[in-house]
Amino acid sequence: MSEEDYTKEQLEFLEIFEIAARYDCLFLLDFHCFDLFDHDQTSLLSDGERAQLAAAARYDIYAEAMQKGFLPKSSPFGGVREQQRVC
Amino acid sequence: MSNNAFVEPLPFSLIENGLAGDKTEFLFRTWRDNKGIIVQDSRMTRLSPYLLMTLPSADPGDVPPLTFAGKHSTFRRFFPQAMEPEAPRPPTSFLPSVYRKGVADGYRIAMEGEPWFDIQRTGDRLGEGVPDMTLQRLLVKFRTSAGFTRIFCLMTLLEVHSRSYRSDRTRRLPNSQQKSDWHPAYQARVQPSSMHGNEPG
Repeated sequence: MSEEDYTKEQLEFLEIFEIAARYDCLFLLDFHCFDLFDHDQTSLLSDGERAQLAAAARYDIYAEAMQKGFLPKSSPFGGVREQQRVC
Repeated sequence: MSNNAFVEPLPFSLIENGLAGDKTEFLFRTWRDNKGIIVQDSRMTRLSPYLLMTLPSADPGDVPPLTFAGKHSTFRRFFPQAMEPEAPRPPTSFLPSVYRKGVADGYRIAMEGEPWFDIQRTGDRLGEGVPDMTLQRLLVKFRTSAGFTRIFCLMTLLEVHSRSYRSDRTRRLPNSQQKSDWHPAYQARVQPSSMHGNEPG
C-alpha cells in the first residue's frame, strides 16, 4: 500500500505508532488510550479516535526525542534516519 | 519555615507492609521487581489514570516537565486547565513556584535512579482554589530497553483539610479513599488501614 491509500487520520496514528513501536514506547499509547477510552485496544478505535489518540500521545512520545534533537518526519513511511535518536 | 517543611520522606517499609495503599504498593513492587524496566503491562495500564509522568531532567530547584497526567490524578483534578491542548504555558507552571521548589528534591533523587516516597501537607502552597491537603507521593524512574526514560509519580490524596491549617480529620472528600477496583487482582482484597487511620485515596 502506498501513502495515498491512507487517510490523514490514519497517517497521524501510524506516525505515532511507528515511533512508539520502534523505540519501545508502546506502553505510552496504552496509557493514553486507556485515559481517553477506558481500554487499551487501539484496534477497536475508529480512525477519528485513533487520530485523537495520536494527538494526545504525540507530545509524550516526542518530548524526550525533541530534547535529543529528533525532528519528526512528515511521513510515517520514510522511517527515521539512523542518526536520529528518539525516546 | 523552610521551603521543604511541608514535605517529609517516608520509609519504604510502609509500602512493603501494605500501609501505603494498593496502587502505591503495586507501582513500587513493579519498579523493584522489573529493576526499573517498563514493558507493556495491562496492570500498569490500569494504573495509568492515576499516574503522572515527567521527563527525567529538570531545572535546578524545579520539577521536571510533565508529559502525562492521568485523568484520575490529583493534578488533573485540581489543575484541569493545565492539560488543555490550548493551555498557553507548560502544565507544571500552573503549580505555584513555592510548591514546585518544595517538592523538587524528590524528583532529583528519582532521576538518579533511587525511589522517593514522601508525605506532604500542602497548606496554601498550591494556590487559590486548591484545598489544603495531605498527599502521599511515590516517585520511581522507569526506562525501556531502548532507553526511553520517564519519572512515574503516584500521588495519593490522604486527606483534605480546611484552609486554616487546622488538622480537621472529620472533613474528608467522599472520594478521598483509595478504591481497589482498578485491578481485578485486588478486588477481593481487604484494604489495609494506613498509618493515618485513613485509607489512602
